[in-house]
Amino acid sequence: MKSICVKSLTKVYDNRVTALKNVTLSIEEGSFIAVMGHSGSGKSTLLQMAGLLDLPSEGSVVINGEEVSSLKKNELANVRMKTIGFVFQAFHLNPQLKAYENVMLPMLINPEYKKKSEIEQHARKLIDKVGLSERAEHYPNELSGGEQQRVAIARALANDPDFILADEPTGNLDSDNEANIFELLKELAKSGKGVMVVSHNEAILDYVDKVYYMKDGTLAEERI
Amino acid sequence: MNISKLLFVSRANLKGAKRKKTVLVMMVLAVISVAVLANFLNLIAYNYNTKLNSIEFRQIEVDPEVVYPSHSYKGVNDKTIDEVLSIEHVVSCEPIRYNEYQSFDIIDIKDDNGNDVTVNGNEIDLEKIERVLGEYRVDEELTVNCAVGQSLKDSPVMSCIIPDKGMLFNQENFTMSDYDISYLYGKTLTVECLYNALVFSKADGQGFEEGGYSNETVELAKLTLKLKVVGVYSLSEYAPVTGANTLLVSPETAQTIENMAVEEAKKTMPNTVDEYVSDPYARRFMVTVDSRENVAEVEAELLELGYRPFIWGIMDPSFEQFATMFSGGGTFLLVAVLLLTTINLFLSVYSNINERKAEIGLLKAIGYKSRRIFLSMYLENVIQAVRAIIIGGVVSAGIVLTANIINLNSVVFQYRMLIIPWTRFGFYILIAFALILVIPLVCQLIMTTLITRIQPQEAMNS
Repeated sequence: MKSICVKSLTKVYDNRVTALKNVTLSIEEGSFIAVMGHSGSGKSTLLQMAGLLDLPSEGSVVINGEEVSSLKKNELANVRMKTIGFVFQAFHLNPQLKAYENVMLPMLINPEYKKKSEIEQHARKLIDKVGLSERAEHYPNELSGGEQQRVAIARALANDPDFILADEPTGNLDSDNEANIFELLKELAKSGKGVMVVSHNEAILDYVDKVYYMKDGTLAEERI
Repeated sequence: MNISKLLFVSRANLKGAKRKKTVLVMMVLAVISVAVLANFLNLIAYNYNTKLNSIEFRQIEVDPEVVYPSHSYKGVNDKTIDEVLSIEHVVSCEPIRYNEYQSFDIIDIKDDNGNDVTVNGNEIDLEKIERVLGEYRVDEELTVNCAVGQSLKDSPVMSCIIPDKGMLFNQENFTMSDYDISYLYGKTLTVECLYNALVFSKADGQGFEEGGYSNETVELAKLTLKLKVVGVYSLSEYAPVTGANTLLVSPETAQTIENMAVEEAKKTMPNTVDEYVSDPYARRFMVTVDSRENVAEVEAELLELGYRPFIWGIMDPSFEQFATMFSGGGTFLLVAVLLLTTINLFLSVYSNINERKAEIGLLKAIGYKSRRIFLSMYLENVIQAVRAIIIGGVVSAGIVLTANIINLNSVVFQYRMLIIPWTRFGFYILIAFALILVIPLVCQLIMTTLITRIQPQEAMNS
């Protein structure tokens, strides 16, 4: 089974601030989990560790059975490219690229795609998948917040990763849009992806299989 | 790495770049500065130095011994030649064996088959040709290379090389125009000249001189010569050294012509040429100095030793002033523009990276490596550089074309030295292009640590 397992993760910044203390957690394929907690509880740090955006001070990260926390930067980048898709609160779409062109970005560095035409075709399919086929040619500033986040999700799916990690994906959206986003993430989990969402928003509880609560850098509670 | 994939992001980012217009303008200015300013500066310096380093500015003429009632001058002879050669910076001391300049009339021009020469079926204008090729000059150092045919170094005696264009002066409107004479390549010019020589003979006390040598200009002979045009050189390239309308012959050809004149003169005036022929010191001597800077010192030394030196090669002071003024002002402007461009590019690269931390973080998060991000950002500058070279190249070409036309039509011959050949212009455009590719690369390399330091988790910042 494909999974991201973080074991006994500890992260200390500048030898002073302990953001994570001995956290163990796994994200399995087909699961949809949420990590919740107040600001400063360490949930974003946990997402960074799980997504290999940063390395732990102690502990290990195992992705699909392979211990990855000791890999070099370029190797970590390759692992992220192939196995993890990210969705961020601020969308981070390139304003100079159209919706489908933003989705193309991760595929441009994937050696499996030789031709740009191939990449474009796949990007358009992903745009269709998130329900934005009529908006594919629009620039981000012509899209609503919800539409932009759906483009971001399509981008996260570009290289067909095993896992989607989302950091406050509905932080900048209204309630209608947040429901759409959670619904979309739920569908991705049903299709076999492992989805982890870091969020304040309790509305997510209606969609997830499991919730982890974090407090002061530790996992305080786990609910199914 | 696929360039089109790299360019995909670069082109997009360039659309939204805040400083792109400023960067483009600075790059265009840099291109124009290098292609025009630096080109002119270098051309002036090159022509100025080429002219000054030519042999005519490194030679001092010394006349044979002469004794006047009030004073006397030593001449070069078997007793004094070693003294002259021992002066510091003196390279050689040789007798002038032939006329370095000789005017002539062109009476005929034929091809190899002995036929009259035509141009596009029309008879050639002999009078016009004579206006531009009315004398020959000796290429002492054989440094002029021909674009067509052979140079004098490789050519037989009684051959010559000509410029590709002559300069015709129009007396009605006081303008100069080019006259193509390159078609004369391979043709034989039949010319007539009155060969004069400055003949020295032992003073007989009848004239001003009490002793030593007296001299007179003697018409040795009227000669008819056949000179085959074996090569054509570029006037624009060699104008600083040869001057305009200069048909060049080798020293051997000049010596042969001199010998012909002397042989004729022996038949008609044997007594006059007797010493001219038999006394090796009945000649002016040319003292060659190692460099122009030492000419004054050698001249002073010759005077001190009692010789009578003449310096003929003196640079036109107005040209020297023009060259100095333009060089100084132009250099300052060029340095200022390049400095501004570098600073602007540096600031642009720095702010580009700083303002795009979240974007760079995102790219790293989705798997982009620092090297690819670096290349992608550098390509933005490459795209700007290509635009700048096109715009700057067109503007520079316009400036150079205008300047060339003005200089071409100027009655002041020195301005011909400021005509920039298009091959030279192309070379400087390449230098400009290399510069506007290298400066941003250097700036970006210096900023590499900034890109490397940006972590993927920056993407999580709004």
